[in-house]
Amino acid sequence: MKRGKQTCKILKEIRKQIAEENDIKLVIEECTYQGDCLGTCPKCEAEVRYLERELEKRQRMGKAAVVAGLSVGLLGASQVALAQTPDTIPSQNNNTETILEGYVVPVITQSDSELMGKMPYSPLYHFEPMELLAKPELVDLFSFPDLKDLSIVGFDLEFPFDVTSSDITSLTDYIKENTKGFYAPNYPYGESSMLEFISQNLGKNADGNAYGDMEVAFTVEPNGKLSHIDIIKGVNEQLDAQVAALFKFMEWKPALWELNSGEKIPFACQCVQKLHFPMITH
Amino acid sequence: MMMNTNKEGYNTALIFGINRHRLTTDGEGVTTLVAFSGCPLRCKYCLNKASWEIVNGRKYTPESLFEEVKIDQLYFLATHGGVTFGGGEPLLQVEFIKVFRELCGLQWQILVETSLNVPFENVQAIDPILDGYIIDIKDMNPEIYQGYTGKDNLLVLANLEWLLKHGDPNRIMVRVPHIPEFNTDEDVAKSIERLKAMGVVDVDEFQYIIR
Repeated sequence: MKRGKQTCKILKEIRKQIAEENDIKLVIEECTYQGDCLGTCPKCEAEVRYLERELEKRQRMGKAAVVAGLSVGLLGASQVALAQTPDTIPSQNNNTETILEGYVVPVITQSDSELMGKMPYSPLYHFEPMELLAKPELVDLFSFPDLKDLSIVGFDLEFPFDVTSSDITSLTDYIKENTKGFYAPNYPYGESSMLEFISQNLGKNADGNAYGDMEVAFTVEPNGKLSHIDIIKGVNEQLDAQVAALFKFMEWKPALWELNSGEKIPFACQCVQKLHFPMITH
Repeated sequence: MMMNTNKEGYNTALIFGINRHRLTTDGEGVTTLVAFSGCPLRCKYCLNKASWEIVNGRKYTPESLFEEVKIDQLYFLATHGGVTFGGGEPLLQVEFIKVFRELCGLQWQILVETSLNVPFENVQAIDPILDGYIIDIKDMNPEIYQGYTGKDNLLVLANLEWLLKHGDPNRIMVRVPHIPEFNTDEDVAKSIERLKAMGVVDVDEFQYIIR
């Protein structure tokens, strides 16, 4: 996954260039994530959304947004960097293409993603009859558990106090001064229970041939109900609809601000739940 | 013209994969590869045989696809990147791509990875809104082509000739593969020679490797 990390670095550099060119304050922290990297993550995506909002703000104020062609030169360098990435398939030239006979390859090496017409991280299907049902595995829960993330996602949170400033730095300072901390929302019965709930309720209607990664975005409301449920990365139409319907039935512990007084105030918080539906083989 | 519309007449397509953040892999800049289901060819070494029939994938309208891929608009604009349509065969989805172009505007680069083995009218209809082509030519020898793909290459040659005469040849990259058991180095050299004689300026010779 070094290639994914390399892609991440290049995309980060593009974001940095856009921010600098448009006088946008963007604090980019060093990524410490050690797991598989596909080149982006919710935090990277949040930075992009932040840049978009800031650029829109500038345009509304009559300022020019400088983006077009800004990072063209950077991509030339990226080619060299990627070519030097160690997990590239050794080959006689840079134009090798791998041919895989058979129907579907569930796990394709990272270098294949560079090749024409192949979709290594996309839902693919095979046609053998399946008896078992799709069973999800929890991969990760992404939420916004730390105040330092407010520099990126502050506008996505609802605050339990009057917020008049839209300036992200003063907003962060204001929250730090007025609160002790923030507790992330969670499923009260534990992650394995949530998977069991999804798995059992998918029932016989689930597509047993479906596998792949799914990402469900939703808001945990202050009363624990889930709203704004959206499958931002789907496996297939049927499974996506079923999982979205199940999330409507869940109740979570809401996110909490702890004020300096010790009082804990629930508030709405956006989350992304990742689910992995493994390929079932005989 | 071949169109894929549902019974209500809406312009929809089945897409079996979307691959983001490709860096100068299939086009300039950061690109997103969108793979349609449905292909007229049956290549022996096809990597995505699930894409042959228009039955697999997720249903999109141009609008829903645009909503999904515009997440990378900043990267596209900053790097002169955009969307590359592959498959399957993207030139079977002409109306879909035309509407998509209207939605995304002219600043995104739109390329197609195509075999060109599609009706002539499809190529004529889509050419004005495309920025470039990546054409997998297989082999210029009709017998080799037929043996490998199960189909003749008459349409391919006619479409390629038309494209070369009706626009900038620099917008076209032709990929010529060494195909184990189907063509030889000499066959590939002949294909390249013939392509250059036709006016192709950007040829990408590459090697299939069977695992």
